[in-house]
Amino acid sequence: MKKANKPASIFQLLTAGFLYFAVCSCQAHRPVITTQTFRYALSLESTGYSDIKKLYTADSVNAKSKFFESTTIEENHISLKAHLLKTIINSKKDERLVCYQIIAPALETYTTNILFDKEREQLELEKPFFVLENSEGRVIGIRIDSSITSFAASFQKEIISSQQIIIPVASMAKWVNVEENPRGVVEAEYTIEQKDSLVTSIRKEVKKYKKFNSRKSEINGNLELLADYSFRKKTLDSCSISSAEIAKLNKDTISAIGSRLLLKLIDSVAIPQDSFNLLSKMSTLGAYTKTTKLNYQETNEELTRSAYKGTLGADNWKTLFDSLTDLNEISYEQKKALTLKCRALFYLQPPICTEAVREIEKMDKSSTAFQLIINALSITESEAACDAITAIIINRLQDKELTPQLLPALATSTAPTQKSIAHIFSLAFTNSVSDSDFITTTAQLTVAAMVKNIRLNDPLFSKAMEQKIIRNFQNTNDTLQFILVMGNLASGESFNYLKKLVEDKYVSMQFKEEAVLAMEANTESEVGSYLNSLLSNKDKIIVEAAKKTLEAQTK
Amino acid sequence: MKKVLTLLLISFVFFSLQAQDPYSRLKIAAQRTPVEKEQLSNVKIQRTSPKWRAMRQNPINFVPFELKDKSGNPVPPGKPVTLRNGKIITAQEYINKLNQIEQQLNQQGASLRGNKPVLVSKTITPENTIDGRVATAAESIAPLKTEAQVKAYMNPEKKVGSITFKPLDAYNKQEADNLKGYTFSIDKGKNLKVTTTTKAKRFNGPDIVMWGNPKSLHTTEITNNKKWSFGDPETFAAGIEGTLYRYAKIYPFNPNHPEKSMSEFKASAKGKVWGSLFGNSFDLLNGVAEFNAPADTAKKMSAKLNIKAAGITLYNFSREYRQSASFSDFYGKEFDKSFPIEVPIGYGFDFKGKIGAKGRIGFEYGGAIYRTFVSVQGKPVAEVEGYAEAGIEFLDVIGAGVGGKLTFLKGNLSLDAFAGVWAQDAEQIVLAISYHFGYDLEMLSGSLYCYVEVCAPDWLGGGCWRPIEHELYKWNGFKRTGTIAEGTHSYVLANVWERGIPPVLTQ
Repeated sequence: MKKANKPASIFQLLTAGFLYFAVCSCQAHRPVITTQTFRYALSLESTGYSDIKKLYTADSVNAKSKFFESTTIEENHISLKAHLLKTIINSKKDERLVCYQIIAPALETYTTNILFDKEREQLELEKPFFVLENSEGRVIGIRIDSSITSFAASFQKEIISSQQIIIPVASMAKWVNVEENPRGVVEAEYTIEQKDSLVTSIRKEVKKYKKFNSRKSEINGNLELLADYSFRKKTLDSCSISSAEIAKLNKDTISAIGSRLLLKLIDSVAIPQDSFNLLSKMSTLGAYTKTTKLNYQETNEELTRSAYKGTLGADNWKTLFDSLTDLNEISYEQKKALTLKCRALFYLQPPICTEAVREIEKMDKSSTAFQLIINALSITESEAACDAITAIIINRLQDKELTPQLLPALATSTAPTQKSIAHIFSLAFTNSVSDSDFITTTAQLTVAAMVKNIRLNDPLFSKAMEQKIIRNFQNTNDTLQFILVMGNLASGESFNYLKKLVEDKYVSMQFKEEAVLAMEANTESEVGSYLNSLLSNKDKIIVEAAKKTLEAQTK
Repeated sequence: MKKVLTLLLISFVFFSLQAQDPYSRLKIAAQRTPVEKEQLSNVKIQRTSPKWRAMRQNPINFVPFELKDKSGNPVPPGKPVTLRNGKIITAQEYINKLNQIEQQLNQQGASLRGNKPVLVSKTITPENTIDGRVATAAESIAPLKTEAQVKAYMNPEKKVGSITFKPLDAYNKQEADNLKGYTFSIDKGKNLKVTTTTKAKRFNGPDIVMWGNPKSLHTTEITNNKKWSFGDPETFAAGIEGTLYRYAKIYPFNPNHPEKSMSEFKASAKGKVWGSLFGNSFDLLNGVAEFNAPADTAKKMSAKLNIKAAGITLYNFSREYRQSASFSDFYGKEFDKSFPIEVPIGYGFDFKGKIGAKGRIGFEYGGAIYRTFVSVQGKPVAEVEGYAEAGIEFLDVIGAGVGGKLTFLKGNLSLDAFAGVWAQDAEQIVLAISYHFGYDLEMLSGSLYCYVEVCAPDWLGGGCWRPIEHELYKWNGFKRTGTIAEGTHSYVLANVWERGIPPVLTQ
C-alpha cells in the first residue's frame, strides 16, 4: 500500500467536512494514531431517460408509441468526480462501522425535468455517511444525515450499494447472494476471477430484482449489473461497475438508466484520535441517530405514528377526557379536532382503548362524548380499537339500535382480531345471542368482511372461519343474503359459489345479477378474467352487471 | 279507514323525517353509525413528478443569524435548546441549523425574517379536470325545489275536477264507488280530464279468470342517470352519481278478478359517492332502494335496501311482502380515509404526514308498495372535507404543519318517483307516473396546503415562523343547485283484452 504523501490535505478535508457538526472539537488533544482513512478517486456517470408522465396521463396516442419515440420522454445526465474517504470506525468480530465521505464533489448535470441546485447538492454530498457491515461485508444498517436532500441521500446510498461485496467466510470460487440495493432486493452472483497472495479479483453480476420497491404495485424493475472488484492485500484497490436498469409500468418502459462507477485507491493515512473520536461520536448523534436499511423507505406505520404524535401534541387521556366532559362548550370544529386527538391517542397507546370502553359504559349513548369516543375508536386502525368496539357491542347487546350501527365499523376494520371475529360470528349464527333479524343479517355481513380483512395476516384462521360461515348457510332460503355474504368473503371458494349461481339455469336473473355485482370486493385475477368473459354473455343484465363490477374494481 | 291511514303513512312517514335540512339529518344518522375506515397506500410525491411544480422566486441575499438573544446579548454556545420532537441540541447547533435553513430559503426567495409564507411549490390538479369540467356539467331544467316543494310535487294524491286521485288501494269504499260514475281522458295539453257518465262499463275480455299471455297495454321504463365528477384522481377528485328508475307495465285486467292482473310496477333510487386522493380511490357509499309491486296477489311484493362501501355490503334489508308496506330510514355513517404522504415543500424540505378525507355520508330512503302502486325516495347525502396531519419526527429544527379548508363534497341528490294506477274499471285504466331529480352540490372547493415551520427558543423571543408553503390544492369549487329532470304523466288506457304471444299450455 502506498504511503500517504499529503496527510495534511486529508485532515484538512476531513475537518472541513466536520466543521458543521463541530461541537466540542475545539479542545486541544495530542493526536493518537488509531486507524486509517483510505482515499479513493471516484467517478460516476449516469444517463437516464424517463417517461414518468405515462404514469399520470390518459394520453392513449402517446401511450402506444415506443419508449424512445415518446413525446413526453425526459433526459437526465449526471456526472460526479470526487474523492471518497473510507474510514473504519469500529470493527468487532461480527460487524464493523464504516464512515464514508465524499470530498470536493464536482457535479455536472444536464436535466430536462429536474430543477437542480448544483452548489447546494455538492455541499449536501459532502456530509459523512455511515455503514454497518457484518463480517461477510453485507450492509446491515446505514446512517445518513436525516436533513440532507433526497438527491444527495440517494447518491450516498448508491455508493454504499456499490461497496457492498458479500464474501462468504468459507472459501469458494463462486457463490450467490440475495442482497439489498437502494431500490429493492437482488440476486447477485459472485465469481473469483483471480486470487494470489497479493491480488484478489472478484466479479459480481446481478441479472434481476427479486423484489422491486415501488409505491405502485404495477411498476417493476429490471437490472443488469456487472462489477469488478480488485483487492490488494484485502484492501479494496479498485472497482468498476456498470449497470443498466429499466423500470416498467406493466409492460411499458417508463425509465431507463445506465450508469458507470469507477473507484481507484489513491492513498491511505492514519487519522488522529480526536478526529476519530469525533467521527465515532457523530455516528450515533443528532441527524445520524436513525439506522435504516439500504432499501429503506419509511413505513406507513412510522409515518402514521409521527403524524399522530403531531396531532396529539402534549395531550393525554386525562386532558382529553376532561375536554370530553364539557363538550357543550366547544364548537363543531373543536369537536372534530378532539376526535382526531382521541384517534391519535388510541393508536399510540392501545391500552387507552380499553379504558375508553370502561368510561363510556357509564355514559348515555346519545351523549356527544359517547359518540365522539365511538367515532374516534372507529377511525383508529388498530387491533385494540377493533376489540374495543367489539366489547361495546357485547356490553350493549340488548340495544337493538346501537348494535347494527356499530357493526359496519368492524366490517371495514383493517385490523380485525380473532377474538372479535369469534364474537361477531356468534352474534351472526347463534340464535340465542340476538333475537333481532336485522342484527343477525348485519352481523353475518360483518363477520364475512372481517374474515376477508384478516386473511392477509392470518390465512389459516381466515380459511377456518370461512368454512364455518359457508356451513351455516348450507340450508338457507335467503339467497340474496347468501350472495352478499359470499361477496363480502371475497375468497376463491366464495367466488366459486357465486359463479355457480351465475351459471345455474334455474337461478333467477335477479340473483344472477346480484351474484355478479357481489364479486366486486374480490380482485383476484381469476375473478377479473371471469367478469371479462361475462361481457359477451347473451343476457344483457349479466353483461351490464359485469361491466359495473369491473368498473368499480378498476376505480 | 285503514287505507286512508296507510296512505297518510306513505305520504308522511318519509317526509316526517325531514323536519331538518338533509345535513342535520345526516349528522343524526351518522352519529348513530360509527366511522368507516380503510387502509390506503402511502404516497410519495417526488420533484420529478409532473404533478409537482416549483414556483420560481428570485433568490435573496443571505444574512446569517448570530448567537445572540432578542436583546442582542451573547448566548452561551452550549445552552440547551429543546426541539419540538423532543431532541435537545445546543444553542450553537441551533443557530448553525437556522442559518443552514435560512440559506436554503434565501435561494428560493424566502426568509425566516419574512412576514408571510412564500408559496414555493404546488401540487397540480389539471385545469381540464376542474374548471374545464364545469362547462360540461349537467344543465338544470329548473331551479332546485325545496323539500316541501318536492313533497307537494310528488304527492301521490291529485285533485282533478271533483275527484281526488290516489293509489288504487287507498280509496275507501265510498270513494271507489264514486269513481265508477266517471270516464277519463287526456286533453290536448296532456292533462287528465274526468267526465261524469251514467253508461254501464263493459269488459271485452274472457269472463273467466285471466289465463295465457294477454298483450300488454302500456310500458313505461325510464332511467335518469347523472354523474358529477371533478378533479384528478392522481391529486384530488370527488364524484357523486344518482340513478332514478321507474317502470310500469300495464296489462288488461278482469274487473271480476282484479287480483289476477299481470301489471307490474317498479321504482328504484341509487346513489353513489366516491373520491380519490393522490391515486387512492375510495368508494364511499353505494346505496340502493328498490321496490317491486306486481299486481298479481299470488306473487310477493319486494323491498330491497342495500348499502355498500368499497364493494363490501354493510347493510342488507331485503324483504318480501304479501301486504302493502311502507319504509323509511336514513343510513348514515361517519368515515375517515387517510394515508401517509410525503411531498416536497420547495427544495430541501419534505412534508411527511397523513392526508385524508373525512366526514359524513348517508343514504336516506323511503318508499311504499301496493299491488298497483310503487313509490321511492332516495337521497344520497355527503358532507366530506379534506384534511392533513403533519408528522413531527422526521424533522429537526424545522417543523411542519397543515392549513386551509377543503370542502371535498357537500351535497345531496333528491331522487323521487312513483308509478301506479289511480283508477281502473271495466273499460279504462288510469296510470300515473311522477318523478323528480334534484341536486345541491358543492365539490372540491377551498384549499389545502402544508408548510415549513421554525420555532424559536424563548431567548430568541419565542414564537414560530412559517417561511414557505406548498399548495396541495386550491380551487373555487363546483357549486350548483337545480333540477335535472322532473315530470308527471298521466295515461288513460283502454282495458282491451288481446292475446299476446300464444299461451304456454301446461299439463
